[in-house]
Amino acid sequence: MEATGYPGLMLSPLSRRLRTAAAAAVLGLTLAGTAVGQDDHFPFGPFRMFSTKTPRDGIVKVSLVRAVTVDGRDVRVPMGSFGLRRAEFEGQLDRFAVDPSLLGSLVVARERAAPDAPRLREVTLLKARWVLSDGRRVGYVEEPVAIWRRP
Amino acid sequence: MTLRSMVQWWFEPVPRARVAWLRTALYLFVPVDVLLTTSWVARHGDVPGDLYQPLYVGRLLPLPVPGPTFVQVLQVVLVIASVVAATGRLPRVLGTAVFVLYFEWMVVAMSYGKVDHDRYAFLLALAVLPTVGAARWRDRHGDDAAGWAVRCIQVAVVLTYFLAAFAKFRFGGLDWANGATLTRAVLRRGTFLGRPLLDAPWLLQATQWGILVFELSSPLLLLRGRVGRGLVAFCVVFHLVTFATISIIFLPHVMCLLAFLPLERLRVPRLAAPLLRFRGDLRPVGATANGA
Repeated sequence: MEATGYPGLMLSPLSRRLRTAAAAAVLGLTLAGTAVGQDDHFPFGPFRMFSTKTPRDGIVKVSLVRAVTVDGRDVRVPMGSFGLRRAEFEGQLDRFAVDPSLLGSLVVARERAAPDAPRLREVTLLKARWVLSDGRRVGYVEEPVAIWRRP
Repeated sequence: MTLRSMVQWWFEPVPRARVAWLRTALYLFVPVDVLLTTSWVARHGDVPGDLYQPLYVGRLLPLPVPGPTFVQVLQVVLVIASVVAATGRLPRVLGTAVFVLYFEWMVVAMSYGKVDHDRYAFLLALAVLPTVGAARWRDRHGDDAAGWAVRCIQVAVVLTYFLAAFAKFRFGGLDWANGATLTRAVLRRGTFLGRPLLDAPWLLQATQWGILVFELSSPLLLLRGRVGRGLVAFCVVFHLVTFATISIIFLPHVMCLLAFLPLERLRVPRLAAPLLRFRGDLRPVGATANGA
């Protein structure tokens, strides 16, 4: 081991033991998270980025928002403009289906954040599916999940 | 490798200057992350509280449902604390404050139906950096407290890759690499550079195999010399290509790759010399000696 030149800076046996125990505990939690944990156990949950397998003859789901502005134009609205990321919409799709008024609350949040953006009369949250065959796209369908209309 | 030598390995002295530079880089990255690269987190303050689905840790601790005021105050305090911490002053107090505040920022970020996996090493770095005590940019002396902290960050980076392979086996199955997961990624997030790849499914599939091999070989990052350095460079390229094709970049994680580099060799530019006085880097070394 390299000499430090000032022994006062070396860790005491107790400090070493504490650090070793802390590292072991964190390592243990992390391994447990990968073995049996879920995203909920952040930051110890499994590192599951792109970990699900999409079958080569399967479907790819994606959600999107279409809207009609108060002056009657059909537009596609970036989901981030509502204050939620697309994956966050997708994590809670069933809640929007049960309670479409949640979309209304997001429209309010959007208008607060961007008062100059075109106002929306009708907002539809959709789920779309790409159909794959041997890893290539062969079809595309959209289906509404929740619709909100300005009262 | 015996247990004893493994513990020894974990405490291998590292020049304190490396910790000093890591603090500068990571604490200065916090405002970049909060205000620029993942500024969507702050928007959660405007989202109805009904959509807040607290993480396990958020249910365990009495944390408030984020509202506009809470998120704004948290954001301002976090940014100020990290900028001040980047000066190297009060490393234990300010470092701990940044860790706690950033952790709560992460609860706000990840409690709305989607959890990201690019923060593990960064959070761990924020947790261990305060344990080192005073560290100067030009302090080439090795010490085991600095060594432990740097090793922890390195191991966290490796685990992020290595365990990602096992998550793929667990959730996608052992034949994950034979699926069309990257096709899905490109369909959902592809850039103009990524989209043409949809016409070459075999290339995407080969890449999936490449990713698995890379993730499983990530412990080689811990090797000294050419192999380790080469793999660090490969990681950077991997993240850049991912960004160019599917617009995803694990920026906080990429910052932690710095822990593998000999940052202690960085020179302080002449122009920055006045900073040394401000940081307390010019006081005699013994005056701030601080072991525990």
